[in-house]
Amino acid sequence: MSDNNEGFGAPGTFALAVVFLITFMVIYFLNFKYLSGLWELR
Amino acid sequence: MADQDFRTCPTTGLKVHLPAENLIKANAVAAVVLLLIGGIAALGVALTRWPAVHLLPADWFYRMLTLHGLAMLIAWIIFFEIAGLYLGASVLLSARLAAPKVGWLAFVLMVVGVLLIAAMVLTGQADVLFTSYPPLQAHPLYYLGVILFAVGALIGCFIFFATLYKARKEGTYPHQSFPLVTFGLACAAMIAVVTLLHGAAIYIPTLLWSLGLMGMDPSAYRLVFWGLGHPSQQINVAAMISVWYLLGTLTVGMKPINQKLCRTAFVLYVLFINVASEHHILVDPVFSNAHKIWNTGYVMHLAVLASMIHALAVPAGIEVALRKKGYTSGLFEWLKKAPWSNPAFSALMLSIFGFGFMGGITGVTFGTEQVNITAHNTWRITGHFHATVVFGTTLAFMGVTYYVLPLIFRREVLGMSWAKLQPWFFGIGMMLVSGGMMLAGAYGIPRRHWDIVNFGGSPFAFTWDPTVFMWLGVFGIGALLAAVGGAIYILVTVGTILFGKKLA
Repeated sequence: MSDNNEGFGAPGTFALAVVFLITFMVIYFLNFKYLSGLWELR
Repeated sequence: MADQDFRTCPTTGLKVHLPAENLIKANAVAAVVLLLIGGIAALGVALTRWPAVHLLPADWFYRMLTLHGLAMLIAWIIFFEIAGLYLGASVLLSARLAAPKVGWLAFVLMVVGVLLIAAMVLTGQADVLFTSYPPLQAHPLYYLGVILFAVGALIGCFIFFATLYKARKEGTYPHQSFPLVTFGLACAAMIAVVTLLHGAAIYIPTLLWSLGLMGMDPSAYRLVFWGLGHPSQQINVAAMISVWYLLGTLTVGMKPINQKLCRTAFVLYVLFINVASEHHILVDPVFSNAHKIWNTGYVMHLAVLASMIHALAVPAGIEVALRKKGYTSGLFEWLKKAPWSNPAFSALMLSIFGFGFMGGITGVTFGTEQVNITAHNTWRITGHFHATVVFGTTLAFMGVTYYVLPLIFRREVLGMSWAKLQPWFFGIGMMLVSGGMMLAGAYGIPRRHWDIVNFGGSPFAFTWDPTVFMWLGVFGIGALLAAVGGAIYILVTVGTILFGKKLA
């Protein structure tokens, strides 16, 4: 990464996008975990 | 082109068509008045759903809820969008607005429609909530009001398209293709046409049903209604994202990082967003699973992909612009040194967070068929769409107002120190409102219910987990903060229009 417009010019946004994806994965997982608690397989 | 019909903005250099300017002013003022009405109704609803206050009796709660939904989700936003369409087609392209007189006819139809709706709701003749699902029935004038409003908005969209055609024919703008903001607004207008035609398809038969002239199949109503109900919010999404690009350009000199990709993302909205509206009826037993899975398991994600592209492209464009200004240290110097004291910029960034993080993540999750079983008709859904439509769209529209006031109303913004605080009050308030709703909803708190403690004296007692009341408190405090933010916005806007220093 450099600051002279070579390569990807928005590394901060990339980091924020990674935070977004991790948040999404956690929330999605928690919702399915919650669902599995309501619909237990016996 | 008659030059006496134009003036040139000394700040932006844009040529403003004066008849278009008057129509933008009228639609924007109507929008703000309806935001005030919807906001007062919102406060009544919020202070009733907060059990510590429980303000309104049941009949007035449902009345205010109906008014709140229609004033905010439909009237405030669509009036503002019509103003935005005229601005995007006429002012941004330095073009003459096509048929301004027809524009006034559209405006009058929308105002008459809103007055009919408000009169029927406030006199207790339309306690049917936003969805107005049969067999709930309102007075025929209520449905007529909705139809008149929709016809007015539809005419506004056609004036927008006609203005684009004139601008292209007369070559009023220097580039081959429309600017990205205008392109996005064109996509919003295309979605609007499809949406409003769905509105006609469902509200005309409903009007005839209310007059006793025909029967009504409630399941058919539900299916077609969501062809109006959800896409009407997707007009907002496309318009909001256009406003994001505009605000990015105006506040930090942003340029879209990849025009083709951004335009393709807008086209994805046009192609897929209407089809994805089926997530509203995922638990409806009438419709087949294959139908639901196709809509929400596949098609919806193509529309979501578009939002993901924009949610990456706008902050990336801002970062690139700020790095060019020299804020290159580390990952986040650009974010730290961004112009946060500009209310338009803070509104933009909070709007991106609210729409993307809070509304987007929860929307995709709750729109999944399996998860929807647990979330449907709980307050989690209400929390989701308050994050998208209010925290996202309304806040973005509030932000762009700080540029519309000097550009169109030719007034210097009055009370700028208050205006700087406004997006924060409103944004943080809405974050607490949406978060409180979603977390209380996760414990099963239902949407729409007047009395979640005693269920109106129902013989079936139910005891909530005490944590619920903490989240309801968070919601209530958030609602008060958002109301303060909304009140500052209205005071600054109205104060500027009436008493702001006139600009040359």
